[in-house]
Amino acid sequence: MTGAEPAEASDLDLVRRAQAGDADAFGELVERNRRAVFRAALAALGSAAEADDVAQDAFVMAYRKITSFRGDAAFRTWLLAIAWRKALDRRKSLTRWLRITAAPPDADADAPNWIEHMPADQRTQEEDLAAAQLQHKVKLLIRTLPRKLRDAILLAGSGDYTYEQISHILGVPVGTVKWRVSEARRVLKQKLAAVGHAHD
Amino acid sequence: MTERPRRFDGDGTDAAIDRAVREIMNRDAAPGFRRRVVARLEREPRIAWTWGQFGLIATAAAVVLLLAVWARTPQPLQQPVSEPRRAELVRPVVEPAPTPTRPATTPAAPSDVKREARAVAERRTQKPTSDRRVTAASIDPAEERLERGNANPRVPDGRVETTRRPSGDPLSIPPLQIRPLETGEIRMKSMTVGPLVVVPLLPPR
Repeated sequence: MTGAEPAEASDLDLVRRAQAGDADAFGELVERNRRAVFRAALAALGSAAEADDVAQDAFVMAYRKITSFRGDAAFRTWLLAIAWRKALDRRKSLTRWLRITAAPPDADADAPNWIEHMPADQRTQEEDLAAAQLQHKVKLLIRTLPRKLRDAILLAGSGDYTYEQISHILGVPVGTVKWRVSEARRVLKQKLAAVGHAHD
Repeated sequence: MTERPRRFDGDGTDAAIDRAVREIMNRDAAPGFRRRVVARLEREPRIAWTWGQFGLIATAAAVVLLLAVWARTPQPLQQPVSEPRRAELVRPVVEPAPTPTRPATTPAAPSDVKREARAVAERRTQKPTSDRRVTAASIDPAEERLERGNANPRVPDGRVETTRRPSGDPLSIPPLQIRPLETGEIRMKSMTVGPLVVVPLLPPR
């Protein structure tokens, strides 16, 4: 037992220590949940810079309110709810939102890189190009989805959250989350068909 | 309840959607995120205290403003006293003199009342304008100027109003009693009209 590695502290242990004033414990919580919080903000805002800022705000807010965390839900779920509210507040700012939407989509800048990093399999160059074009169009169309559908499909598609967590973040039942994801896919397919991409 | 969203593979549209979403979401916070959060947390107490101070100052300013507004609010006029008086004086005019013998549909009565009203209106128009001016000036604007410290306010035509003391009580303005005197005259006239009501005027029509 003496030479064994100390077991990794659970989120709840770290929360208890942070509640007692242990700043390092809270730093560890930041490290563990950084990506999930950042991506939730990214799904809402669509801008990495804004998401980074909002994620910081969310952690600061969580630290300020950590004494009110009772452990009824998982710490990450509680934290994600804070981050989402912060992100929505930021999104409501009309000027910021206009700036984000008016800016050239990141997808445009990333498209060439994505093509370069495509796995080299047996597909022909034409097929690769067609797939790249399709994906590029999908990314652009996702931005045109209604907010509720876009939020749901981005959170679900990120792979970072369970349906339950998404339900908690969005404040809607799990069934509603599933319906929104399905509806987002349907709308996207419809739009793709309208521009000549009807594979399925 | 830890079900994760389904993922599609292959070349279909669903798979393309999944890849596009992953690509949009496949980002991470800028390097040094934890350090930046900790730095903000260290600044946090100062920010909180600043906001606390701001709230305190804002509250104090609001209280002072409310007190100032409350102090500047003018006292209500003595309406409860003047209203009954007016009603008392007007009542005889509204209710005609008790003439049990006169029919209710006497055609002469309305014309007499109109005639009287016209006469009163003419008398009013013949009144010297200076009287009306003084009355009007002594009710409101001049009173305001007196309150502001101008002992000799100017009336609209430019002359100096010297008939009122600066320390006069605005709540006991005597000119308000001028109107009851006019209505009193009307009442007296209506008493004299009574005998003029002659029914025999009806047959010619």
